[in-house]
Amino acid sequence: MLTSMKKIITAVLPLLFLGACTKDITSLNNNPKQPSSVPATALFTQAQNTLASTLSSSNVYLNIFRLIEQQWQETTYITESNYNIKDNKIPDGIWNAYYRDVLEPFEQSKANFAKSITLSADAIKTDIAIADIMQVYTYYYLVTTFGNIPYTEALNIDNKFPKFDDALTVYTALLTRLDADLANITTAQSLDNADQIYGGDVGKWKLFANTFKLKMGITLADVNNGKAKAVVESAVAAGVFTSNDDNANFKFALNPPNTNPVWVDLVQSGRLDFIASKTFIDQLTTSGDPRRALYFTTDASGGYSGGRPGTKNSYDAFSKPSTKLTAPDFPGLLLDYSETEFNLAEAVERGYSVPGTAADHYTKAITASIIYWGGSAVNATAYTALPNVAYATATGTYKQKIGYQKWLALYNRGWDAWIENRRLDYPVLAAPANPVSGFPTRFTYPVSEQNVNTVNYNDASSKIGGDEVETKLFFDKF
Amino acid sequence: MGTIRGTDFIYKDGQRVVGDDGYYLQTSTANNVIGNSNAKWIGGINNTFRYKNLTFSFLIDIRKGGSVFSLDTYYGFDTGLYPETAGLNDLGNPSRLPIAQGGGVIVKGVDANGQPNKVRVENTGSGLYGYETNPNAAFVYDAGYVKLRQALISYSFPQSFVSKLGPVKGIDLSLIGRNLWIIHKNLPYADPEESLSSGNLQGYQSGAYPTVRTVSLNAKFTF
Repeated sequence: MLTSMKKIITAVLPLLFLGACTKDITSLNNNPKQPSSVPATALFTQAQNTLASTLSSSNVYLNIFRLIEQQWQETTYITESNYNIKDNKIPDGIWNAYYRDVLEPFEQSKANFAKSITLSADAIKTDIAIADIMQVYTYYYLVTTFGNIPYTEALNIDNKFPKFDDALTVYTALLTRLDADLANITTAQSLDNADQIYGGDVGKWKLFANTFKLKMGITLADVNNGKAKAVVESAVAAGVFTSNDDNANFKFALNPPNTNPVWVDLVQSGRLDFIASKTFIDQLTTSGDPRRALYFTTDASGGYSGGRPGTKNSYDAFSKPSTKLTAPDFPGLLLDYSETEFNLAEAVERGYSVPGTAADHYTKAITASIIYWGGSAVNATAYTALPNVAYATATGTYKQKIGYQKWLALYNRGWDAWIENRRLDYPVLAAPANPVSGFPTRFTYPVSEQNVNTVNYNDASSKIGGDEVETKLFFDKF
Repeated sequence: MGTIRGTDFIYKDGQRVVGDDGYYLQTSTANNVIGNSNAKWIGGINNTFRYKNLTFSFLIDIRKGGSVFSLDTYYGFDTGLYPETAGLNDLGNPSRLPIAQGGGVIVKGVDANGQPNKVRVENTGSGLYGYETNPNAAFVYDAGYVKLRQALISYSFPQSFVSKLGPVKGIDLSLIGRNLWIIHKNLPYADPEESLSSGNLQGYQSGAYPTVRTVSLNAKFTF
């Protein structure tokens, strides 16, 4: 009896456990903690943050333009100052930052805005237009850094091998997009706190788009003067930045993780990598620039000095980036009034019909820069009256005068300084001590594109005239 | 599979080309195949000798071919950590002296015309032998080796002794050593077997540790 009971229990027990199982176990694959969709506003803010961080960064795997422009110099690891962009795979870093971490979230943000059931049709159009302006802005840096880039086939997860589009064609398409975006901004307020630049102020975004359009027009001037003239004139007629209050400042947080990347790289890291470059700080000293003390700290002997480009330097001996700039909440500047006035000065010189004189715009530009960095109007008046600074008496052509002063004003914006330096051909920077190439007029394509997207890569590099750092890009005629 | 890519030297008739500045020219792309972490073959020789109660055995491991990138020499040759970065130059003077005092180095290679390089460069600071002036390919080495992986010496106590110990039927005492000797290798200052990680990080050394050597004593009682 007992044995038969045992037999029954042994036979039935597994059946009981079987009953405890669910039939469909595929639901186990669903992660209940993973959000099924991310809010469009969160994607927007994240993309904006990465964009501002990338442009402000001093990370040697991402943004080394302050070094190329000889505004800063390195102390121990000096390969980037000597134009080596390969060892740290910097092109790959830029590519990932812009395509994967900025453009793609903006793209998804746009798609999610379009699906919104709470927003009005006009509000959706406006939100998408602002995200699109940010995308156009991002593509501007990609196309001026690499030349031909994936554009029409980019940001499509189903196409792993996008073709590269012609740089000038992309650039023209961006201008068209910017105009369409401007027309689509119809509501009075948008995005609110999701927008960490203007807090959703639509009026400011219109100003931003037109000011950026002016900048894009000027960048095109050497290659297609007619188009540039039309773009610049329509942008100026629609209204551009008129004071530092209009500046596009991305507000970095006081506490990690969303802080000023320069603070992360220079202060939080505890590293002693960067000092002033002799090229830059000596120019500030020679011309008696009031921004010298605002840009840099004093050196070991209480004066101002910088390290020679491309050489190893003592960290303690030289001036370092100022504490204003290395503060955790120092904002990331995306577009400012100062460069706008420089662009207007250039527009006047190129004979475009914009109001004002070149000298007036030029003076306003320098003044705006000095005041932005914390100088006084009195400083600015005195500085702009100096014979080697004043527009009437400074040396050279308008390209030289503007190029030189733009280089000084675009201090925390090495990427823009590099673009303007290539376009205006001033200032002429002496080569660093042991350069691995000539002055880089573009960046080579990422290694990942060479290996994975080989056919399209080969096509693009032959079309731009070789995937070399010294290949000149479409906007860089001279 | 296992390809190592990076910047390479530029060659002319099999010789490294040196630029006008006296340093090696480098490829403009960082995508050149400069090595492969896979070995051509891996083998071992195991043998055991017995003489009366003594046993001796050894295992020799051999790896032929494959390459490894050393981040340690990439930086170490740069900063002057290794003896190759000092010493006498072709003039018989310490190479770390300034050129003006007879120092400096002429790196081996040819100029653009194929003539031997004659440009002397300073070796007063860092950089000459390391990553600052050399392509990635300069730090890729042959990862082959011949190693005495294991040696064992064992003694079995005689039955006449063991039989007195009641239930014990046998006692073996062995001394075993592992990773005793790298008989031959081509990678300087590190064990070619060491690698940063598996997967995509094979054939890449950074802060390489020596392989742990173990010496153990083994007493085996059979009941």
